[in-house]
Formats: sequence, C-alpha cells, structure tokens
Amino acid sequence: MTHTRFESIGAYLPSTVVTTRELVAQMSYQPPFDLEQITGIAERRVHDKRPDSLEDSFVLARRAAQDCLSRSRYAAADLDVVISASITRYHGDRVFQFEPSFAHQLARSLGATRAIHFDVSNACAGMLTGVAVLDRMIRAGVVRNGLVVSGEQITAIAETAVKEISELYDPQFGSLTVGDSGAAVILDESTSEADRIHYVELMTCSEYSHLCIGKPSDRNQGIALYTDNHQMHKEDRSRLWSRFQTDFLAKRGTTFAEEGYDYVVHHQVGSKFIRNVNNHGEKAFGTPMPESLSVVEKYGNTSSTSHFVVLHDHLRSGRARPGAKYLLVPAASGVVTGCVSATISSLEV
Amino acid sequence: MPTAITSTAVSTDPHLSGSIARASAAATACLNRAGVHPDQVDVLINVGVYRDENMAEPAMSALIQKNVGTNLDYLRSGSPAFSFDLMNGACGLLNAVQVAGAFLAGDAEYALVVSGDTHPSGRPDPDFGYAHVGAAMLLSRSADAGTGFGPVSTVTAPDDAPGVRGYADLGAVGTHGREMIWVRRDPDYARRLVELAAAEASRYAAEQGLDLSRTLLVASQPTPSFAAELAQRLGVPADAVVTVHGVDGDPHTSALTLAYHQAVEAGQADAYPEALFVAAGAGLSVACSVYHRAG
Repeated sequence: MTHTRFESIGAYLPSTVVTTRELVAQMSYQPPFDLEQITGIAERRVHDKRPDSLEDSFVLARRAAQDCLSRSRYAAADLDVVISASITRYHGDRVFQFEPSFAHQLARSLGATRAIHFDVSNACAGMLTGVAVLDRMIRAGVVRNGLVVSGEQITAIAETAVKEISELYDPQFGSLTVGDSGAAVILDESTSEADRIHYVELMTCSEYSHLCIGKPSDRNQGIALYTDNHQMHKEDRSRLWSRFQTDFLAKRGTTFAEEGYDYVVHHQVGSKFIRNVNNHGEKAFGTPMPESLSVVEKYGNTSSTSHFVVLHDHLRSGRARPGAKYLLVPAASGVVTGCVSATISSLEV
Repeated sequence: MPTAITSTAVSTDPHLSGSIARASAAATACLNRAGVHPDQVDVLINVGVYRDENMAEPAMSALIQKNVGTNLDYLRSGSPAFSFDLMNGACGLLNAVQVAGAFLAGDAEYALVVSGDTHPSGRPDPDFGYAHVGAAMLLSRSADAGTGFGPVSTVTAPDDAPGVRGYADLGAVGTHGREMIWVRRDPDYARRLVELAAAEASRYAAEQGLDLSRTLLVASQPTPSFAAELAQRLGVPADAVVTVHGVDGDPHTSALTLAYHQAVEAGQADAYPEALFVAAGAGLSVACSVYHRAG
C-alpha cells in the first residue's frame, strides 16, 4: 500500500506589520471591548500595496512555492500536479480572477511545465483539501508528487470591515482577525514511517454552509465576509470534529489517546477559539490534548494557509522533535472539519 | 477498477436563477435517476467557475450539498461526506473525473461531480457568453474492468497568452461587485483552441489505440462550431459529434456532461462503444479522456 509524506514546506509572510490597536484605530465605530485581548491577536502581516511591489494573492502564493521548492528534492519541472487553494484570487490590483486557474498560471510562472493543474476552493480548509486530493492521487497512482499552494490577500475583508462595522453584533467582526500570507507544501510517496501522512479525512456538514459567506460588499468597493459567529461557534459545531474523529479512529481500531499525537494544530481563528476547541477535545476524547501550536498572536488568522504557516514556524523554531506526530484539525466555512495526521522527521525549514 | 458514469442529469430550467440552484437541481435529478440516496454520496465536487454574486466563500459545493441534502449534520446523519470546488475552466470536469477516481480507488462509493456557471447578477448578459445551465455526473467504480474512463491527459499551450480571462475588477465596480464580471477573449482564441485540442486529442487517440471513425466525440462548446471543427480535424464523422442544444451560450464547465447526457438520451451514443471526451479552455488548456461504454 502506498503512503504519502510532506516532502517540503514553504511559507511567505509579508514584512508589513499592523497591530490590532492600529487596525481598530482606523474604525469609525469603536468596539466597547479590547479586540486584542479577546482574540489574542496582537498583530498581523499585511501585503505590500505599492503598485511596483504589489503582493497580491498570486505573488504571495508564488513566493511560498519558491520557498518550498528551494528545499525540495524536486525542481518545478519535476512536479506532476500543482493545486492552488486560495480563497482570495487577486491577480493584480483588486482584480479577482476566476479563469484561467491560479494553478495554471502559478505552474507556468514556477516552470512546472508538465504539471496537471487545477484550483481547489474550500474556504479555510483549502490547503488541507488540496492535501486530501493530492494524497488520494498519489496513493491511487495517478501522480507521483505534487505541490499544494495558497496565497491569501485576505486582509481585503478587514479593509471592508473597518469601513462598515457599525454595531456590536456586526457579522464582519471576524474579518478583523485575518492576516496575509502564502504557504506551500510538496507531497510525494513515503518510504519510511518516520515521514508519513497517516490519514487525511475531511468532512463537510452542509447544514451550516450559509453561516459564513464571503462576497463583494454592496456598500463599499471591495470584498467582505459575513459570519454568524454565534451559530458558527455553537457547542454542536465543536462536537462535529470530536464525533467524526472518534468514529474514524474506531474504524481503524484505535483511540485518540492511543494515537499518541505530540502536537495539535487547530485553525488559527483566535487564541480563545483554540483554547475552547482544546478544552472540548479534552472532554470529548477523555484524554489530555497534545501540545497546541499557534502563531495566531503574531500572524492572526491566515485563512487557508493557517496550518502550514504554523507548521513552518514550528519547524523553523528548532523546537520540533524529529519523529513527532502532528494532528491538524481544520475548521472552515461549509462547515468543514476533520483530521490530518502526519509524522515528520526530515523537514528542514 | 475504472471510474464509471452511473447517471447524468442537466438543468436548463429558465425559472431557476443562479448556478447553485441549477447545479442543485441537476444533482438531485441525477441521484434520483440512479436511485441513490443523497447520504450515499461520499464526495461532491463542484467544477463551476462563475458563481452567484461572485461569491468567494464557502465552497459553492457546500451550498449545493445542502440543497441536495447530503450529510447535512454528521451528528444526525452519521454518514460523512466531503465536498469542495475544483476550478479549471472548461477542463474542470475531466480533472474532477481524475480526482474522483482517486477517491473511488480508496473507500468512497459514489462521487458526484456538479457544475453550473452564471452571470453574478443572476440576469442574462449578452457579453457574458456562458450558458445558464447546471449539470451533474454521478461516478462510481465500474464492476466491469472494460467499462469506464481511461486515463486523463492534459496539455497547455507553451506561451503565456491565456486566450480567455474571467475576472471581477473590484477596483472598478464600486458597490456593484456582486453584479459584474469581465470575460475577455483574445481574437484568435477559438482558432488556437481548436488547433491545440485537435493536436492533443489526436495524440491521445493514437496512444489509446482509438479508432476515431467509430468514436463518439464529446467536446467543449466554446463556439457553436468548435465541436464540428475539431471533429473535422480528427477525422471523426459528422454524425458522431455531439452538438448540444437548448442552451443560451457556451455551456462551459457543464459542456461535457451536457453533451454526453443529450447523446445518451437521444440514442446517439448507442452506436459507439467509445466516447472521446475533449475539454478545452482558458490557459490555453486541453484535457482528454476516453470513456468505454461497454466491456
């Protein structure tokens, strides 16, 4: 049976830092609470907006892919498939592109001339969706390797939120938590248990697909995200992950505790969200949670790239123990949840 | 085992507005025709590109999945399903066949590929050019090794001119971002596309040992004459070409499903043991796959 692994990962974070205090100061409506305190987000990175050095979604993705390729055994021309997973598809100043696919243009720009290419779009589960697709394609023998990449100029929704939020329960409050980034990962066949993706299992509970909608604003120029936070983060939504993973592991004849994860990486919505999900997991699985990795304090919610921005940051920190087992848990509009488990030994960043 | 088509359906209902509604209607009809319950769908892939109100999130597949009634809430249904959008212009359907095949090679039993394109305003626009149509194709593992899709091949033009670009210029639309879309086609787009498609389809047919004089041609329809021109270059007889009817423009991401569905419904496909699916669009990109109808 074929297994896959993370062969190389890359990331790109814009150099411009905007603090939560600076962001809130731009708002005409001043919230009666401390946004930094309730989200745990002190600052985020924001793309370069200067025309000569514009960092749109495409540029952010390409830089992350180049970073990933710089440490890979593969050159771009060796790639069998390129999968782009951006929610924000800005290619040019405020130009939101639908076709040709981002993946096509990224592949061409990188020199991946013979790669199959297509985009996936699955909100903040985009990169993990790309990983799920690529994992299946490698295991089925359709391809031998591939790149999943995403560039997110997601602070476009924060720009709209700053202009439009006018009350305490505004559905755009969540838009103030986002940060720009790019991330990329190459998968290929695993020949050693020391570097192996054990499973990628994702699920969409469509009953709640209407709770978080991103589309152009009808009040200002630009794109906006409207989230029913109260419904989105109800207790039942948390139970979807734990029930799904419990059932999945039971089918494999194992339990959460027996899996022996060293680290858990949740979607980076905010530090309180991450704490709540871990508390829920602890109760639901009846076992302490593994160490929870987070970059939300300094990068905010980077949407589809979040798990790989965390992983990249952790590996770069030098604290990663070779042979550690990671659990990645998505939480995305749709509603998408699931579990991705991988042992990582030889990923250098 | 190969990936086989269990059923297909289309929606051209003028009373339905938007790609989500049309794709959902086609998906429901497709499952009904197959006698498959919505909760039996393991993977739902939407390959539509142009969406209602230029929506960016969530995946359109999730909204379609909700209308179809597949795994609305795992706590109640207990049967998980995974859905996502796969976008690659007109070639998306064949990419989805490839991806669905990879899931079906694992533990998935049914994969539903849906499509639908719409002007973001929901209203017809003569400059848009894409038909308001939805389509669905239910895929499963073939019980017969001789029936189903063959390998999918893809190729792109070697230069940087994509031929067609579709985008929303949010810097230019003011507060009308939900209602406007630009589709810009190069003047030589159709000519270049038919040349690239003919070259790749010809190469693929030779590689697969296909007798093109006995093969049904199921092709994209970027222009009304594209399929006929492609057939002529490939040496496919005129009566073996599927030309779609009943639509108000290029069926785009639904073209292949629509063409195959209409050919089967009309009995046109009966005489052909093989169908050659040829998708062609922005990039310029071409994808081909043979479909063996009988073992």
